[in-house]
Amino acid sequence: MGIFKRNYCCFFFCCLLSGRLLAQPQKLYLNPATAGPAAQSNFIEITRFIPIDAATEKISTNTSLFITKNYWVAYDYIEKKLSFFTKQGKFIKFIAMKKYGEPVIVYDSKAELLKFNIKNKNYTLTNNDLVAIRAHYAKKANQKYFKNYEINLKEESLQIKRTTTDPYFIINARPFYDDYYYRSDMSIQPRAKDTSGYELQLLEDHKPVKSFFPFNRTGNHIFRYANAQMYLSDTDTAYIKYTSRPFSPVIYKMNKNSISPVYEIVLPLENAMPSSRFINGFKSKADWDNFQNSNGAIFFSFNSIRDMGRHLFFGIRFLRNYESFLYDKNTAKFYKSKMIKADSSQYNIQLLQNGLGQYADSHYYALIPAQSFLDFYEKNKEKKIVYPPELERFFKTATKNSNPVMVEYKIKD
Amino acid sequence: MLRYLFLFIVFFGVASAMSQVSNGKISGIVIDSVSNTTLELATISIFAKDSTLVNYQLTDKYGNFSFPKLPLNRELRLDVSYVGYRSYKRHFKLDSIKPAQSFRIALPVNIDDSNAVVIRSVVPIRMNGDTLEINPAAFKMEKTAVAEELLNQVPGITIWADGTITVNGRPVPKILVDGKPFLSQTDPTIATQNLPKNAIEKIQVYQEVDRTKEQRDNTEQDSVYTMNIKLKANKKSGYFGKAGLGYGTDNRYESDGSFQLYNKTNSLSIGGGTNNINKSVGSIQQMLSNNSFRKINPNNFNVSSFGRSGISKTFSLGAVYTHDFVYSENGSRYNNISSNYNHTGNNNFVSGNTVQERTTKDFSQFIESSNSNNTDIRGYSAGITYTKSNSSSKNLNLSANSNFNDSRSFSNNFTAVKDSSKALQSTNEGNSDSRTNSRSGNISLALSNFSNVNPLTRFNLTVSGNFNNNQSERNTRSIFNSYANPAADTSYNRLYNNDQESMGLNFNLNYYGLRRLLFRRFNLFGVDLNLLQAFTYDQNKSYAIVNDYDSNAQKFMVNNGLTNNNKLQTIRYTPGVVFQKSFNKWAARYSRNVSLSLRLAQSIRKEMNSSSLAIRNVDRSFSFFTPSLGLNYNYGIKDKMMYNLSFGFNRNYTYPAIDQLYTITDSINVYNVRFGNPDLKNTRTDNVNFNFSVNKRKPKAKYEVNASVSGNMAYKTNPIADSVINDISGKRLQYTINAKDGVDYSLNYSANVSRKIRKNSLQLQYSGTIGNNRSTHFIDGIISNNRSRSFTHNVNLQYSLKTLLILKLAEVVSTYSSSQTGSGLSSYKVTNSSTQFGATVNYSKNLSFNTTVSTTDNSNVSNTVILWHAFSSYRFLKGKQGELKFSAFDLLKKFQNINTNTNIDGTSTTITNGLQQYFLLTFAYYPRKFGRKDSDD
Repeated sequence: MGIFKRNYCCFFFCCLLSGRLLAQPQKLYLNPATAGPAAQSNFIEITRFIPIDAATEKISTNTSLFITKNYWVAYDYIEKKLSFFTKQGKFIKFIAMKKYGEPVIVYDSKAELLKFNIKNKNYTLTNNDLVAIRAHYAKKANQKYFKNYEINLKEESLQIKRTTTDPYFIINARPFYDDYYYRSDMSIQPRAKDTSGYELQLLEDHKPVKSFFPFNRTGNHIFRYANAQMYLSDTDTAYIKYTSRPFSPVIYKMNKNSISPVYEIVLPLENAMPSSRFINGFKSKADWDNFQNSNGAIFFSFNSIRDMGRHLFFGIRFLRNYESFLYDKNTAKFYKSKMIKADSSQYNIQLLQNGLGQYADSHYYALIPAQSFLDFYEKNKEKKIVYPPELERFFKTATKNSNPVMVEYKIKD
Repeated sequence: MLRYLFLFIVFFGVASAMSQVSNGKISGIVIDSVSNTTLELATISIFAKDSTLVNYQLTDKYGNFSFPKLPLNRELRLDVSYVGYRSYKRHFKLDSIKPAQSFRIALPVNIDDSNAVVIRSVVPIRMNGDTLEINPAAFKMEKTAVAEELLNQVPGITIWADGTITVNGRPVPKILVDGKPFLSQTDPTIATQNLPKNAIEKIQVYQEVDRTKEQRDNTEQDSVYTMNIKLKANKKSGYFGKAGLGYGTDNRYESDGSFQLYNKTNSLSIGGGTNNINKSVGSIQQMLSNNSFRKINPNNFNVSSFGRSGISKTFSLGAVYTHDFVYSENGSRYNNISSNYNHTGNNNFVSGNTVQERTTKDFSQFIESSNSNNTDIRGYSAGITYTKSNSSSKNLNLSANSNFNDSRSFSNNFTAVKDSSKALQSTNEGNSDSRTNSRSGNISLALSNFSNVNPLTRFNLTVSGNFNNNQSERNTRSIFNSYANPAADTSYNRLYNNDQESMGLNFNLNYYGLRRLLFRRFNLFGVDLNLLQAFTYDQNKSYAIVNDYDSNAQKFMVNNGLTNNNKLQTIRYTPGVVFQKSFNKWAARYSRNVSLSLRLAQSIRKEMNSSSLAIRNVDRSFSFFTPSLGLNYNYGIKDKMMYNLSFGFNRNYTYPAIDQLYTITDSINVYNVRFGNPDLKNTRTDNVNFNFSVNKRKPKAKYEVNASVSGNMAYKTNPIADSVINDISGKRLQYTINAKDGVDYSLNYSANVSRKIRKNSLQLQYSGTIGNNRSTHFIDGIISNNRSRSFTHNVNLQYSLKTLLILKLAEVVSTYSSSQTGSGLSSYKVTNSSTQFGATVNYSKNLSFNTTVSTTDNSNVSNTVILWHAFSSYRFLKGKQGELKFSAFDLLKKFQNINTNTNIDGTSTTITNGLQQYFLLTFAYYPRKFGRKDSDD
């Protein structure tokens, strides 16, 4: 126990030291319970409505959206269907992904490829298996556990093709910029020989070139049952990303291979993990489950961080809830994104209910169900509301089962 | 029945009409006062002048709300609350001139309190993440109201007449108090009918993974509703109970009581009772369930049982103590030890007359018999259980139990057999005096592990051992006189001394890591493989010494034909493997799951019997292939319906017992002399079953509906049946034979409908069964195909006008018929119908009346049997802790205890003694204290 305590003390000292050496982050005070509502039109300018034109296909809004150079690609994660559209909303084709399995999809903008990493459904892997496989990711025998596919977006046929398994996929690494990838592996191995772990690593040619935030991979670490990972959120510049660490409400900016804290989100005490847990961790999975059940409002991690000049947007994963917030730097006020409501000038179309849309070319994109437009249209039939021509056309033929409308918008600066 | 139904419907119509004179309406929108943006999920509550909650709802995504059907000409208060905002209150009154009002409510941010978590108005219900939270403080009810009465006020929650709770149509299988079963008891009503509303901080309803399906890798685990009653911090200790005493006419008496004491880690329950009114006192667990504080009991649970034969004097004493080694509000984390003790006794006197009509080949027989039986039983039991669970996947349960029973029984009987012309053919007069002492004990270990980290360590193991010892002494005297053949007269005075010892060991292992062991990470195309290993060893030793009284020698002499020693050892080993595969599909609006299961098992048995009777020294070995197949399909439409369909097939074998092969024939009862058959073959049974159920799951539906139908068919090859040879004197010789293949099938169906009309509810429950049995028998050498059919229909209609009036109407119709194909044999049919009506009137907060009337008609009995009870109870003292109850049973004094039975031999009608009209006055005191301070009660 003494060894563990010493290791944790070292860990915290390192964190503290690294923090001291870096620039002081700006403190922003957020009380999640009181972050208020606002009018959507204060923040958002809708630039285009593009009804999805797919006469033979039913397009769902339960999708992950990818904005590529020439296409919108929507992956319906319930129906397991990949649909391609032109940027004018014209449906091109769909690919049934069910037979392949549940993919992790990565858009490689440099090579204009959609890459799919799919766990081979002929194998059942435990967390321990994954750790063992990732430790020897270069071994050919370990490639069978994953299947990789890609679609070359430069080719008109948009065929999905099997490719050799990319070791980056095996180790769950994601592209950073140029030839750099990043990886976040916070798995705890109580009996691991190598006790050193890093919350974030930069990789080049499948090898770590820089590591950040060391931690002890053994013992009752706070990460043990949390299944935590660090994710990098995109900016307009490929080598600049934002990220955060589990249980630490600090937003970091990554610029190539350097990292610095930029914002510290100060939360009420009730949202903070008790300090004793950083030292003692969790005794068992039951202890972790019990703690989660009784302390659902405790901060876990940030995601979807976007710094947009006047505004800062991020999502907070609490132990049992999720909320996203928009911060107005001019007024120093936080707004809960699901309480940012659209008025009639934006046809009551809620664009921030589930966070920010997909970003590309200075715009955000979100698929909105036809029903939402029709509800407003029916309610305001008596009023003389002027709709853009594309919506006028849409209302003439649309039913509640029609395909959704892509909304392109900007965040006002 | 129709007459009652008509009256019921008329009454219900009038009552419903009276309750629906509310035509007022308010609607509006809730917005943020600064930004003018709408606020979704703001809680809108309407309170009456006396702060009673009239209705409530949450605003929709546009901040809108609407309350139709509000009462006119009544002062009402509108409360609006939203976390982080100042709450809004406004009084209003609707009338016929202005029956509708509209509100635009702009809530200002609560800037006084930077944390803004103080909710100033009381919110009755809210969603906290994925948990529905009910706030008892928002419901203005009597101070003495308990959790069940509170739940009855919450829309979407239905408490069915049988005590089941459903939320939006889905049953709530688990009801916890602070994350644990209350007082470690499985009956949730111990919590819901005792815990006062004022001791409850909140009631949470949430969904969690169905742990019963956790052992299967590829099955998407269903979620089930769990209700957790969270007690206030200062109410986590307390006591409650009941002590009651009653005395009535005919020296009828009853006394019962229970007392429960609990804190965070300990609970102690003691209880006891005694009565001579045919009322079951039961074990300590039953006492806790029966003696709850709940005042409404429309189903008249736990009152005198007039349907029970004879008069019983009974008593029971018991205690349960539970200690939790850790205090945790996690429902899947246990570390506790529980011990229980019960001492029970029963004295039962039954006397009765039976008239039986029996079919035989050449003649019909009428058998009249009278008997009396007095049985006295004393029993003691004690047990201890240790349970430890670190998480839902690791469980350990250790338990040990012991039982001691002593019984003494005296019986007399007289039987007269007559032919079709009612001429007496024989009589038999008998009496018996017996004593039995029995001791039994068992110890068991259950250990399970379902590790997500290491699939090789997934298993479920149970090991148990049991021991039994029975010693009995019985002296039976029997005198048979045959008028047809006086030479066949017999007379016995026989003394039986039996000493029986048995012990058994059981070992069961389900190993869920077989696939991982054999195929490592390869998942065999999603097919789960489980290994089954079951081993049982049983040993049964019996020593029977039978003596006959020799009137010449004037002493008992050993009967060498019946005296014997026997030792039977049975070893069963069943290895098997289970293949399981699931197919799942989830879409935004629906989900679908199909799972298939195939079990292949070989049942290997070895039986060794050694006996002092040489013919019974038999060693036998068997090996049976016993496959089973299961298919389960469920289809759910989100917030609408859930359909479940399951189908199963299994094959089983039974082999004839040594007593069926080489029966030791005892002819002391000449009307039933049984012989063995060493040529008996094994019986194979193929079972096919199905189940279909549908549940309506619409959150705001007016009606809650669920229905189910299930069926079972068993095809038997070489079934064991009787071949009966009837003598004109009534003597019957029964031989065990293998009959022709036979089929049994049964069908059960039920439907429940519930409608809540404001605070009133109407519930209709229907259930029915169809049973059909086709078997072959021999009667007097004639082969006869017997077909037995049974139909039962049970309709239950209950209407509750708030808690003021509860009306209940029930109709039970059952028909049993038995037909024979053998020439000269007769067929029989019996129909029984019973109508029950009950009414409970809670005249005031303290006074209630209750009455039940039931009429029973039977095709074999000329008179209608009517049973009418009436009760009135008065609650008094502080907190309604005192109760005076007057009960009048069988007001018309017309009750008769009649039972009819139909089987392949014919029909029989038995009239026994039982309870008759009596009046009882009972006083009960309910000691109750929850928490150290009563200041906030």
